[in-house]
Amino acid sequence: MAEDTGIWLSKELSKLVDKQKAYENRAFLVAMKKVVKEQNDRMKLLQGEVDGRLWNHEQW
Amino acid sequence: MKTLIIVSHPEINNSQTQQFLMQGAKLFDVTWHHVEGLKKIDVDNEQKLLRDADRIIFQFPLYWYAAPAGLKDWEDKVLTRNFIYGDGNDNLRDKEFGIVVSTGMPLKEFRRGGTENITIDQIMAPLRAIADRAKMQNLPVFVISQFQYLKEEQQMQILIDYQRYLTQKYPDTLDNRQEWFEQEFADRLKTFDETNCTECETILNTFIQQKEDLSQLKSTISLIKQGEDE
Repeated sequence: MAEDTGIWLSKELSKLVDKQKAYENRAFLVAMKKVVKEQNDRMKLLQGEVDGRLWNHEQW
Repeated sequence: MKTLIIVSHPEINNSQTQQFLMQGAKLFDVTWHHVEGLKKIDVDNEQKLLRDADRIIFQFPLYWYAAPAGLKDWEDKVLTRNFIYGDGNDNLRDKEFGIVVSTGMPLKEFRRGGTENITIDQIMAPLRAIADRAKMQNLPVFVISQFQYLKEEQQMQILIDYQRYLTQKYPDTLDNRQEWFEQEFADRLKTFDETNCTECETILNTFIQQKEDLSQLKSTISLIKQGEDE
């Protein structure tokens, strides 16, 4: 769910980049897209860790 | 947070890198201070600038493994023993100290076994020693190598990384990056082209929501870990 939101956010930022004429605004939004990707990657890792720890049979 | 950039370049108007950075430094609470441009070094005034800043950046091109002579001259006049540590005031204590350096050689050559056979951190040791003596917090060096050979997208990334280096909270973690982009997006959205504010606000709110979801996941993991220890 959160991953889909991240993908949507990334697409919206791309649309916004295409509308910008100012170099600095384009640079800022492209860099922000990278942070959105980082959020998504981290989210996937942390969700995986939650699953892994909850299903750790040694803790049952 | 107030940031002071002490820039040293003997021919700054001919430097494509410095002109590019100067555009990037036009941010709230950032002061660009070019030492070769000063008619005379007024020690009291320079020391006041340093005292008023929270983050102090030395910025220069690398000339023979050192900063240009102009910066050394400025250091020798302004950074007096009493100002740095002698009068017991520790005027610069706990301020952050950063270095922005541009090089004509690729960064990969600045390591043992590279053609330069010396690291950037080794070259910066004298500046670091001053910062340590002044009880400042050292930031990692920001290196720009062969700026003119970079593609447009790489230069764009450098512009924003540089702005973050000037104003983002230390250290450079994902949490601090998110906070910086959140704040800057809110400030800059008025300058965006062909966009109504509703669209921008949705983007910003979603970005904040993602940040909070991440933080929630971290808390969950920390709770599970606590349970595992018991």
